[in-house]
Amino acid sequence: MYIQETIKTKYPPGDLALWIFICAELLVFGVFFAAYAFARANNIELFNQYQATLNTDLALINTIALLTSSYFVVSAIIAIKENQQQKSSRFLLLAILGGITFLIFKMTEYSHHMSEGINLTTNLFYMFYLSLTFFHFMHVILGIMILLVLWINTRKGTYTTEEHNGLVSGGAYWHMVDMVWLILFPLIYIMR
Amino acid sequence: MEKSYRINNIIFTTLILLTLFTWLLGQVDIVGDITKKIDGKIFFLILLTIAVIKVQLIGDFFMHLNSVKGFWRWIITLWVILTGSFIAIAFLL
Repeated sequence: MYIQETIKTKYPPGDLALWIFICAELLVFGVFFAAYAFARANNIELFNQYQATLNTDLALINTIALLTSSYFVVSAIIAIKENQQQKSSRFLLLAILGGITFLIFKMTEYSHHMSEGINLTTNLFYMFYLSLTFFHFMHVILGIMILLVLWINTRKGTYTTEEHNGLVSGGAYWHMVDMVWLILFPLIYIMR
Repeated sequence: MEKSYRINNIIFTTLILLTLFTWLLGQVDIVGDITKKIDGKIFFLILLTIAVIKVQLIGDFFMHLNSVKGFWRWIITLWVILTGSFIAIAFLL
């Protein structure tokens, strides 16, 4: 098995169509990140002032939640390669819980902002902050739905040591969601 | 397979440590007095470099792009360098 893993392949693991979709998603997020950075360049004082109102502790918890969730997805794939379906489904359940933790803390942040009367029209910083994070939030929801399907399939024994392409593809999407947050977190919450 | 779990654990621990370091840097009051001691551009470049390294680790080890050759091997690297470059231009120029 180890020898098989060290052989380099021409295409990434999982469905190639999904990888093309991942590339399109990354491109969109990349454009949004650049737009945020250039908008900030023209309004540095405004962005620094309102960035200071964000809760970096909650953002840290959310980053750890997503990273932990991704870790469990990788563990689930390793387990299925060992033909351990039960172990794999447990890891996937933990990954889903990581995603739900992210949603809960993000909603806590949103409700705090809403209670202060903050919305998309408050100022340019909040327009970018709310739209970028909510766009990502929607991707987390889609990612959790994909993980749920993978979890159900794993419990039904759909994936085996030989055939687990669906699990690898779904996992790649979840890692993309995680990856985008790894740029979003320092860009919006920390960099000034 | 034990080796796969071990690599997974090492990468995860590295990602968590880098995240904690990013958060710690966020606690530094760069706009206040400490600004005089720390150059804001260096502070920004450290944060950006950490973010790029984290994305690359996810791509290489969680998405297993380190076992791919050719164009797809570098797809995440290409994205993070392009995105990082635009962010750097906007922040530094």
